[in-house]
Amino acid sequence: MKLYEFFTKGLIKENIIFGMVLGLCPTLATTTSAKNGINMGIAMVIVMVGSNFFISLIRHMVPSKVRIPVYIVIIAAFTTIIELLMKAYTPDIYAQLGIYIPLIVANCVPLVSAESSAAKYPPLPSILSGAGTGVGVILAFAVLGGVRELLGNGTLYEIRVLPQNLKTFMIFVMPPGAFICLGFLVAGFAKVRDRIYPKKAA
Amino acid sequence: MSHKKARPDTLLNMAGILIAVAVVSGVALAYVHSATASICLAAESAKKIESAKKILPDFDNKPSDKMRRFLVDANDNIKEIDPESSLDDKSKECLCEYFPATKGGVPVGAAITTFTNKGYSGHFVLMVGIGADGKVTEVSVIDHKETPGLGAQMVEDPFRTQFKGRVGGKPFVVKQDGGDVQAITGATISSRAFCDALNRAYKVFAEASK
Amino acid sequence: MHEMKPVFDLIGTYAVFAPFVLMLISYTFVHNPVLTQFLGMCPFVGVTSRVDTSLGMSYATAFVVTMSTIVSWLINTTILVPLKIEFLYIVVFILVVASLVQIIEIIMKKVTPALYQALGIYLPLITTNCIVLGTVILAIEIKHFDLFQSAVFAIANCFGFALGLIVMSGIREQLELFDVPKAMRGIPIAFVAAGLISLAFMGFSGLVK
Repeated sequence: MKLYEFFTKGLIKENIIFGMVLGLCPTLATTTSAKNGINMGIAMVIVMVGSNFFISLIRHMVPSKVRIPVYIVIIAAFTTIIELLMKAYTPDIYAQLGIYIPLIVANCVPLVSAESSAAKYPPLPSILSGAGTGVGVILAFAVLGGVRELLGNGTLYEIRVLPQNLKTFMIFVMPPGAFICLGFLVAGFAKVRDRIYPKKAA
Repeated sequence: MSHKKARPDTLLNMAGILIAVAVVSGVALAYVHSATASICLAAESAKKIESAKKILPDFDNKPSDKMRRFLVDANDNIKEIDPESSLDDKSKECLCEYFPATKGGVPVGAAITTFTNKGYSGHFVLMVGIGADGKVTEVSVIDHKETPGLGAQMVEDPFRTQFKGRVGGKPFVVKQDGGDVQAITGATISSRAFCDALNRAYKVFAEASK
Repeated sequence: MHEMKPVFDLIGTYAVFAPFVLMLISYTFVHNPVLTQFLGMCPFVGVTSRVDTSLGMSYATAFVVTMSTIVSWLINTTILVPLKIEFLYIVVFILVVASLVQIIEIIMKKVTPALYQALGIYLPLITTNCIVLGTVILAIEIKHFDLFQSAVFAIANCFGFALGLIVMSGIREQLELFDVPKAMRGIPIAFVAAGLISLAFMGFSGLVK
């Protein structure tokens, strides 16, 4: 695998949110607007890049039976760092995302990223892979958040797109709309992905 | 790529690496925590002063100089405490702070931090500006954990701004409960809690003006 | 008027237990953790293709959630708070969850092999199920419940989780019989169904103030 592929595969080919349908708690909960979704995605990228780097550094020292607990501690440490930094420097964003920041640690995404790349490859590819997966997450959150914000509130990244007096569907900002939007986006995503990366005939 | 074998699963190896990782991350986190703690506190108090400036009518004193603190318990019993005293986490949860504002020595109102425990996610903190005439000058949300996009809309117009200019003699009640406050669609609990916090601010205001 | 003293003090008993009954109703129906807070979404999508697997997952999760909430609460009040290291809560709580899952797995294997056969495969999945850590953090860090309240909160959340899973798997079993458009088959239509269940659950809002 070429070095750049570690980054690019996470974007669309193996997009962890729409493609693998993992890490759903923040996907559904924090995408009430494009801005919230992107902020959440950025927090997750930082956690993944940091934890992938350290896990990759110590990958030969970890006996395989305790590998998952060790990875979880490292991911938890980075999650705490992000939480403390956000509390100090961006308290407003932290207040918006609330409990879903500490829950990054219980999310499958960083752990899957650690298992599939950091546990096997040297630091540089691991970082790239973490960043790629993370940017894939940001893209997915931005699309889902954007669609929900547009349909539910008539705005896109807090800029009014639809006319003020047009009735919008509040339901899309609420929990049911999250599920329904995600359902259609997952189906649409599969179509787009298969067009870009056609499946080889078996 | 060299494929070095992972260490064997002996108890010593397993316990060793786990403890090592835990200790290293513990120390690293302690460092980050101590580095950010003061920034956190400074940001919090700066936010309060900043909010106080925004929500009060024109004033020329330094409201934080004459700050008074009140503890409000679950039955709305109000007790004034020493502004300098240090508080544990439990009492911080029921603290209301009172920042009086004057212009040319004449009182023009006060900014009051108030709280509620009835939010969708429990506790949140508001700051209410009350003019000398008892009217709400402005409300700002200091800290909350309400659902993003739903309860969190209380930070925005038009919900928050509807209180501007209202007199808080009788309690604020949402329309669903027979009052006249327009609740946020889909977030009646947060809206009710918001009113609860406002009503608490007025109790503190009355107590402080005694 | 007040001479008659009831043998069983109904009002008194109600006053003591009402908050907990309300909490149970509130987190099972009104604030359902899966359908309104999106906690425990991975198993909600992953294991709900059959009713019996989602029952198994619910039992295993209920056990872990309740145990880890109690243990984390005890560790938080006896170690983290007195030492003023509350900022380590994420690391500590996830370790509690992970080790409890391990311990429960070992004990079950030895003591009740039959139950282990039935639930064992779900246990490793539970560590990275947000509902466990979510419940722990909500109860301790956000709502500041006492021990009893935390335990009731955990049980209530588990009821809500189980209800969501079982309703969902019942619907998905039926969905297999229908002619769903090809692109929507599988997970996409499951999400749309979840959205409609969630919409139905919104009808409960206002049930508990």
